Amino acid sequence: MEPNNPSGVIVTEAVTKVYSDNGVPVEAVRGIDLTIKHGEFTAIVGPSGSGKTTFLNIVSGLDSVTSGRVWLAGRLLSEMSGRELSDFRRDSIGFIFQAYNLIPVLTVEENIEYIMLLQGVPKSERHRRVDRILEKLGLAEFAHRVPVKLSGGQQQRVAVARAMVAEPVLVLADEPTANLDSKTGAELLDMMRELNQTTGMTFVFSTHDRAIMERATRLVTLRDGRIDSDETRD
Amino acid sequence: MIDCKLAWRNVLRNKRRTLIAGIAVGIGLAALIYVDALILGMEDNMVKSATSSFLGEGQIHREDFRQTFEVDRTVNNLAEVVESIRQEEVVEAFTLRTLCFGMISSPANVSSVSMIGVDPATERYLSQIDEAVVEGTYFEGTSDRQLLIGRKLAELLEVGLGDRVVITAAQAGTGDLAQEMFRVSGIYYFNVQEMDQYMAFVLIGKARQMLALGDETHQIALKFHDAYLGRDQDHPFWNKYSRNGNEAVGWTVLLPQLEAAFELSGFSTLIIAIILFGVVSLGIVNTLFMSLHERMFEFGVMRAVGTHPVAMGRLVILEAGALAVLSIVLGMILGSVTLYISARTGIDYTGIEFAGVTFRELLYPVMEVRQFIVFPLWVFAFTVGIAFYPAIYAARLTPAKAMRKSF
Amino acid sequence: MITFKVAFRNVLRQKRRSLLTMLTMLGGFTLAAISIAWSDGTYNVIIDMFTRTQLGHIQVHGAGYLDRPTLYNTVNDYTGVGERIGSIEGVVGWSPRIYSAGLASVGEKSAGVRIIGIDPAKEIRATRFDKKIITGRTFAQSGALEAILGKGLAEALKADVGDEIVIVSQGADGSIANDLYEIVGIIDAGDATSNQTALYLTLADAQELLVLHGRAHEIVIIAEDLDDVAPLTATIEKVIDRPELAVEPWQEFARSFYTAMKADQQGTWIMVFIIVLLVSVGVLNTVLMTVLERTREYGVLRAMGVRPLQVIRLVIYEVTVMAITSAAVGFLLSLVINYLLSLHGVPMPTVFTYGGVEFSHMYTEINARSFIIPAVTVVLSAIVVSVFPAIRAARTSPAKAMRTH
Repeated sequence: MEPNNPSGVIVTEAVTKVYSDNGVPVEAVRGIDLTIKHGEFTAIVGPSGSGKTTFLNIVSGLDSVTSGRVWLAGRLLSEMSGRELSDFRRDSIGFIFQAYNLIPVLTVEENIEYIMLLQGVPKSERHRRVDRILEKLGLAEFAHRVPVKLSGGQQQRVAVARAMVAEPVLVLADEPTANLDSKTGAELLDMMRELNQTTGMTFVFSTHDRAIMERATRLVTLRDGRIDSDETRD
Repeated sequence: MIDCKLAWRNVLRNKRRTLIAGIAVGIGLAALIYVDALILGMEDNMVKSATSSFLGEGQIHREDFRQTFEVDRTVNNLAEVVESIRQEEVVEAFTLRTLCFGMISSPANVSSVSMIGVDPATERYLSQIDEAVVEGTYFEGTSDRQLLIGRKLAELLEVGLGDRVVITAAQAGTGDLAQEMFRVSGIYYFNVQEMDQYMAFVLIGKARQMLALGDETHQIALKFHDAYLGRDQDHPFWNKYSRNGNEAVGWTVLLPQLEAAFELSGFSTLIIAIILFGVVSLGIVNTLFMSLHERMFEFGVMRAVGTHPVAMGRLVILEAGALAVLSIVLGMILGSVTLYISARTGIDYTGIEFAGVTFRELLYPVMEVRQFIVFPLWVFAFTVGIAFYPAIYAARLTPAKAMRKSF
Repeated sequence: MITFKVAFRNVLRQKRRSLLTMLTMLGGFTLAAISIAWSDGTYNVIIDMFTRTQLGHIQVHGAGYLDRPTLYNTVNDYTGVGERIGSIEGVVGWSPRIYSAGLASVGEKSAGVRIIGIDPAKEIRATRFDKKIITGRTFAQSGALEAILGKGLAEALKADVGDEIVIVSQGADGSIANDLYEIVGIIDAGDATSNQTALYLTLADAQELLVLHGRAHEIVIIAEDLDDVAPLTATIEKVIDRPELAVEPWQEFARSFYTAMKADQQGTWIMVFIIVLLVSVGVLNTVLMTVLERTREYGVLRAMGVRPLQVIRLVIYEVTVMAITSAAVGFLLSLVINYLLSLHGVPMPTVFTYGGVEFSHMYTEINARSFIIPAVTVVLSAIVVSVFPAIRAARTSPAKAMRTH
């Protein structure tokens, strides 16, 4: 592993994050070294307060580190300006949040299209990709609906579609199944696992959902801001 | 552009809030339009009142006549000037008058008065006295001692049609006092105190004779085809006739306080606009922040997904723009409706005097294209300008902070 | 009370929003306060000015004189009437006057004049006549055939102190009145029209000229306080007990000004109304949104057993706290601004007349109603406008509210 251009989708080196909660300093993440490789379907787990969300925010460039270094797809995040980070997120990461992923006033189609608009992808290409992914994820019939008219599960599927349509380097999902019933959640996860296996897309989850933990190929457990255990399965 | 689409839909998303904010701005705009229309109507009314009742749109006198009203100061080269004016294309009508102060007395009372010698045939195109006659006639008799006075003066002197009065005035040249008897042949009512109580009209021939003026006159009153000429003191006409000891002036010079009052009104409209929009702007900023606050997580997601800070700010500005457009429509509707109503009923300020002119007719606000184009543009620019505050706030949000803040 | 404490803290909780809302109310309050102070101030000063220095606060004439000022309608025994008036409490001074019209000439120049006969001593005390003299002096003694001219008139006649002036008028007995006087002073009567036409003689001289011995047309009365005028008028009427005389307050004899003033004040009220309207809309927006945002919170409160009325009170108290704070700050702010403006008045770019009276400055006045009216309207309207969202908050069904988030 070269220290200045390490291989792996995500590489963190002694990452620490301290933030101030109304004046009180909180060490959310303490000195984490982690490497995630292409094609992984990894779950980062831990109780609330373990630093999962903060860690995810850091590796995706949503938040800054207090100390340490983070490489994403070979680029050192701290070297990028705010604008570069923004573009980098746009091009390299697909996000899925627990809820409120979608822009409420845009239709499913428009929501999925949004990132490509930011990228400046030409119209015909955009439409081609949107149609393809709608088809692939079984969402074609909802193309013109607004999010509020979809069930929770359907909304999350659209979130997946959006996360993948710009062909990012990895998909980061923060508690994607937390608001879903177990059956819908399982279906969603199966879909993502299939995508992972057929396209080789790297998936990283932050979760305490058993269903995810069961499907994950690697399980990283955080406790009090540090890695407690790191298990790879088949 | 996706931004515009997004902005519109976001604004329409919370109809109640948008409506309330829109109404606030709309009322502000409507009020501005109305006040402007009112002031325009007032100006129109006052100018017309002043110039067409008696003054005329312009006058020619001897240079210093207006300061002293000396009976000797008659218009120089009268015949030439009159001939020249006749040829002028811009002049619609003109009339000659003598003007002097005197004393009018009846058996019952005595009062000071402005005795004005007029030529009825030409005078009727310039002043509205002929239309204001309520008793008797407008110099239709044959006697040269006909007299036309205001109703107030008639009451004061306790005279009616056919009664005799005596007017005393100083003659030109000698300054001797001349007295002549006149018979009241007509009584008019203007609802303007100055005219109803302090003016007396006689035939110009008689006046000239009484004042020993020969063929001279004190004043030539003018009316133009284009009423605006009276206001334009730079027009060559004024220069042309302000020579050889004469002075030709438009009504803006004759009634300086009127012109000044108009400028003042323009200034007050500005103040009112600033005040109204000051109050409204706070409401707009509050509304924008509240709408931001509501969508904090969504904003965080948009940033996470790669939207630039500038684009976020731009979204807020566009939303403010959409809000502005909506408000402008509301304001224009409200403004038109209130103006329409006022235009039908008029506003009664009759009898009230302002800047030397008394309102004689109902005030009608004047709708102008400018009110519906320039003012809305101000509102638009203003609303969008104010939006920079929340826009910058939105742009500066880090995704993490945004998503954290919403819980 | 606990609700008040919670309300107070809620206001502090969302600083920016509370601040913006309070600024709206503050702005509205201050503007309304200044508008009223401005209007009241200007009019009060102007009224005081023309009543105290020229027209007096109250006038006594023969009935019908105001409408039809004839030479013959006089107040007989004006001295007796005057003295009785002078003894009334609240009357600072009184002064009899004679009016007529005439022609005056100096050398070869003549002009129409308004002849005003005054009692110098009384006039000086009542309207400070002597202070208005710009050249020369006031009258020395009655019967000396002296005249004082308005400055515009003096200019028109090219006359100066020491010149002789001939006055021609009509006597009460129908004869031509004609006499020669010496100009002893030139006066600035206060407004352009008066300056152009006023010619003062002593009362005795005027009576002699116009054959009006022992008579006068008008008694001008100066009151101590402008606000006393109405009750004082009634008192005077009773005291003099002369049904053939009319006692009029300034609102009647300066009617054109009074009407104009009323019309203008209407305009001010309309503007205050619009300001309050805009403020109410702003407040409604804020409160409504706040309530909707906190649906979950209200749901929890109701679930816990808080009664609807108490929830309503909570919302209303929040608004009241903001409204009262804004009113308090507004009070201080407008006090400062009004005080500064009232020190010297604000000169107008040009002098104009309104209702026949000259306006050269605008004045503000620090009075109770310029604070009370805005305070009451802003606070009241804010509270009224919050009732609707408050009821909405109180009506939240706990279960539904907590599901929303």
